[in-house]
Parts: sequence; C-alpha cells; structure tokens
Amino acid sequence: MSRRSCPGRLTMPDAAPTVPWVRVVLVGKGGSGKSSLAGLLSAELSHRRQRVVAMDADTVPGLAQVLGLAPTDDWFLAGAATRDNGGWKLEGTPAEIVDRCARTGPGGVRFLQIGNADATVKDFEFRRETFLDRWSGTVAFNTVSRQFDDEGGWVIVDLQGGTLQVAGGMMGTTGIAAVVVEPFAKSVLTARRFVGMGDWPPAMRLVGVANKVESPEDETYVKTALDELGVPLWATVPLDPAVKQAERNDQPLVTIDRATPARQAVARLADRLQEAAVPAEVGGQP
Amino acid sequence: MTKIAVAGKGGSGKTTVAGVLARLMAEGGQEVLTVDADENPNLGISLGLGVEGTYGLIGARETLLLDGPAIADSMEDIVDRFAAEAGENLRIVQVRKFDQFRPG
Repeated sequence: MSRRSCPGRLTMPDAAPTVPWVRVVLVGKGGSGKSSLAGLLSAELSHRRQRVVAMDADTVPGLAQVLGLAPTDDWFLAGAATRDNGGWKLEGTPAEIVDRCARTGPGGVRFLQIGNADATVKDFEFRRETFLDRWSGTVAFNTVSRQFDDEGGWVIVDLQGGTLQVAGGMMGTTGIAAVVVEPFAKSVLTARRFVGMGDWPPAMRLVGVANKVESPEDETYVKTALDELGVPLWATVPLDPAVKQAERNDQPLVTIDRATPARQAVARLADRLQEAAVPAEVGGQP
Repeated sequence: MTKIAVAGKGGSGKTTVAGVLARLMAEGGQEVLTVDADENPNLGISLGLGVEGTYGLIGARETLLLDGPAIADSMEDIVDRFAAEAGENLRIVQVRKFDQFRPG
C-alpha cells in the first residue's frame, strides 16, 4: 500500500471533554468564504482543546493555505485506499485513516485534503472520467467521516462552491450545515438553491452565516433572505481588513490576531456550535 | 459570430463581467446569446432576472438527459428549446444546475 501521501502516524492531542463527533459542513457560493471560515473555525475549536478533523472536499483545494500548511495537489486518502472493482476501498477505521493520512495543523487540527479530482486520477493512474471519480470520492469521503468510534470531536468540511457536491451525496451524516452567505444576490441564490433541495437527513440542522458584512444593512439583507428560507442566522462575520491583508501577504489566516473582528465572530459561531452539540441526555438542548 | 469565455476563481467576478459585457453588446444592437456553464449558475442575476427568475431557469443538460440518451439535433435546436429572453437582443441558456439530489 502506498503511503506517500501520509507523512506519518500522529495521534490527536489530549482533548477537553467534548461532544460526540459532530460533522459541520460549510456550503455556499464560490468565493463566499467557506474555506476561510472552515479554517478559522477549526482553529478556534482546536484552541478550545476540542478534537478537530478538517476536510477540504473542494476540487480546487484552498483550506491547507488557511491553516498554514503547505499547499499540495495530493489526495490524502491515497495511502489508505486501494482499487476495488473500479471504485475504491479504504483500509481501516475512519479514526485509523485520519491517523495515517491527515496532516497536523494549528493546535493539533487534523487536516485531510480529499476533493482534488485530478490528483485522484493521477494517484491511481486511472483513465476514468474525472466526473465519475468525483462520485467515487464521495463514497470514500462519507466512509471516512461517518463513524469515528471514540470519544468525539468535530469534523469540519469545506465543500466546493455551489451545490454539485451536495447533489452528489456529500451531506449524508452532516449534523450542522452552515450556509455561508455574502450580502449579494448571487450568494443568496446559492443559499436558495441549497435550501430548496430539501429532503435533508432528519438530524441535520441548517444554519446561516453572514460573511463579509460591512454595515447593518448588509446584515439585514442576509438575515431577511435567510428568514425567507427559514434558516436561522447564527453568526455575522464582518469584512475584516486583517483578513484582506493576510490574503494579500499570503499569510495563513489562522495566524491573524485572535482579537480581530472576523476571528471574534468565528469564536461566537463556535460558541453556538458547542451549545448546539451538547447531547440532549447530558445537558439538554439550548 | 464571436465567442467570449470568462474564467477565474470562484467569487472573482466572472459572472458580473460576462453579464455586463453581454448587456452592453445587446444595447449596442448586437444579438447576444449568453451561456451559463457554471455548475452553480448565477448569470441570470447579472442579466437582471433576479433571484427567483434565475432560480427558475431550467438546466438544458439535465432536461436533455431526462428526455433520454439522445442529444439535441443541433446547437440551434438547443437554443430554440432552452434559451430564455433576458432583454432586447439578449438571451440566456443555462447549461445545468444542481438543485436536487442525484439518485444512486
């Protein structure tokens, strides 16, 4: 079995008392800030000594850069996957696969890059149509994020922009779907398309995050749109000069000051997620 | 006939540039067909169709597939069947959209 995409065996850090594994999926229009928020949220939860697996499922991956890891075209599951009847079979339990294949980011975040379709094709010297590979990738992805069987933590998933991966079945075991919406009509349309797909897993919560907000009017615009879709607004993240500056300097977002407005907003989002994730039999629903 | 393709990262403004270009050309008297080939199509918004109007556009590709394995007879046929009016001299064909789950 090839392990060239798996840099070594690393265990998760000692974790604070935590929740059962909760899978949070960020969806939204391309450029709405899913990767940035996924990275900052992963770092925030990790800072709170929660165990976090961050997954970049985007076919044009960008989460590594947010987390301060070297960008790569690798498909991180290559070391755990073998060909099986034209599809893939993953070796080991999800926890073992994360142990083997994930890289380690700030605060011990375990990072998996699993959406890069081209790298996938290359890794397997595969001549199948990339489109079909994406769906095989979905199966692998769902397998690896489905059943961590230990104490718990967070799986934070960054999907590609739009609804293609959602339509392809990547929401299967999602606990919380966070729709990232900028104060623009195109961003609202993507949210509308996503919410309108309906037929969600019964246990999934659908919440909204307003991003790149510059004024109360911006927030009201997003909130009104989400209200019409029946989606609660859980966090409003301002357009933050520190974020723009970091992007321009090619500086990982997770290294910007924790006191900056965007990071504080993400911290409030983490509060809400943690409140919502308290198991009913232990602490009751908030 | 001149074809213009607009490319770039998500959120960089491809759709806005394409929409404004198309409108300007149409207002200048040229007949313009816009094709939204994005998997998450938004071009209708830039052309002025609004969120609901754009949401309601059909995806030509899905519709053709639903009709069976056959492809439309010709490009003209696709345009005739699927183009929506977006103003004088201005039409839009939306290639596909993903607003429901795929079986299997």
